[in-house]
Amino acid sequence: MTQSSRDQIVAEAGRMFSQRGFRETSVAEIAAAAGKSEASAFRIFGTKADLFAAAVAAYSDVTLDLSDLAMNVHLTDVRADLKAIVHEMFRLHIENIHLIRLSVAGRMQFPELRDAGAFVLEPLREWFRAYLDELVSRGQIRVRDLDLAVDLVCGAVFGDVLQATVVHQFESYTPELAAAVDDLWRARVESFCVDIIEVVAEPTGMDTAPRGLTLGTV
Amino acid sequence: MTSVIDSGARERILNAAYALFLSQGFKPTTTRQIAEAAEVNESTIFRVFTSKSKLFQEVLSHYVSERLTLDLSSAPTESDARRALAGLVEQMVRLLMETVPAFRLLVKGSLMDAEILREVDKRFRALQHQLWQHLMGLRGRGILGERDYGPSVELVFGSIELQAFEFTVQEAWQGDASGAIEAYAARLADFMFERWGLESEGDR
Repeated sequence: MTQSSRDQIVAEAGRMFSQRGFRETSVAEIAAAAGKSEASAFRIFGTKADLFAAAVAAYSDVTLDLSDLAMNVHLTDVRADLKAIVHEMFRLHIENIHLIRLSVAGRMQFPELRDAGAFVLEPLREWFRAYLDELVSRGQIRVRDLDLAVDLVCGAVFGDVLQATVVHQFESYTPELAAAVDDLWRARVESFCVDIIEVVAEPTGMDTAPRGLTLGTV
Repeated sequence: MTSVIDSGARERILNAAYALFLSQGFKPTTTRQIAEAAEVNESTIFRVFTSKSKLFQEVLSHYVSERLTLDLSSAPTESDARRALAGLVEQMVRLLMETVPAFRLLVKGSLMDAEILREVDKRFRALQHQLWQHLMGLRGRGILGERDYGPSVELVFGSIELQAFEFTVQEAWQGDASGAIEAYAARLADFMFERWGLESEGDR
């Protein structure tokens, strides 16, 4: 079955607004990319802002699949769990990078999207909070400020994703990127387990300067 | 006609262009608008910067070098170490909040210059490094315990980045977020002191 004109235009709008921004993209360009006329795009959506809202709404219909998170977590080895969780968070962010970009741009511009940015982050944050909460109730970890601990991991992933997609221009979670994430998070996972929450553990080596993703391409 | 451009004109063009690009975006902003706002002749812009896209790149690199640096010398001296750390966090949040609107310009791939991106990235790492050095200083003074602060600073900085974005959205719709920013900075500083401070080692 062929896609309706509406769906085709919405799909192009999501991609183009994400890559080029709202103001830098014209309805005529979007319509042309979808093989439609500018007039028909305006007939269907009314205004450019309505088209933007439709593009974001289309992404919001996507349900975030958290089943891989649940599958890779065993609640026995906190460090191994954390490594799997970070990879999964990364993958989900990068898979939904268009939505993240649209909502970053849109939340500042459109009142109705103010809370839309929570789409990718919020379910992950809630899931991770529930995971740590479970470890606390099992007596495996102690946490002084649970919300802050959740924020530190989610924030660091968010910062890395910005760096990987904006500075290094990754559009997908490639093995190269996964390896860099692995390398970057080895010390962080250890630090999280020892310095942020408390799992019984040996201290790590001293004085590692903070750094960013190490990748060959910029 | 004189070919000499006073340096004030160049600065005025850069500032006017920055404000207009930020509020309207690249494409809808015309060199005529920039000329009017900077109170120069439109031809001056082309003489100095050659083209609108060259001007845009100049604006970004000017912005990065002028604004994206935390000047700690201007910070009020604070004898209380915990409040000084909270103050540093607050300054970082504010600085990053200023970069969020600029980031929306940077995200547009077609307009980006790899060198500017590398420079922005470098400044971000420098900010992270300043926080690390601050903690190392506290460790040196015996206020914080002996531990490797590098990876922890990476986690803390991520949280600061994320919160800066949330506060920017909050300010865009609900006005001044100073109270919330201050509370966040204090909470983060409290966490670092209570978790890593030497004084609390005993009662853990």
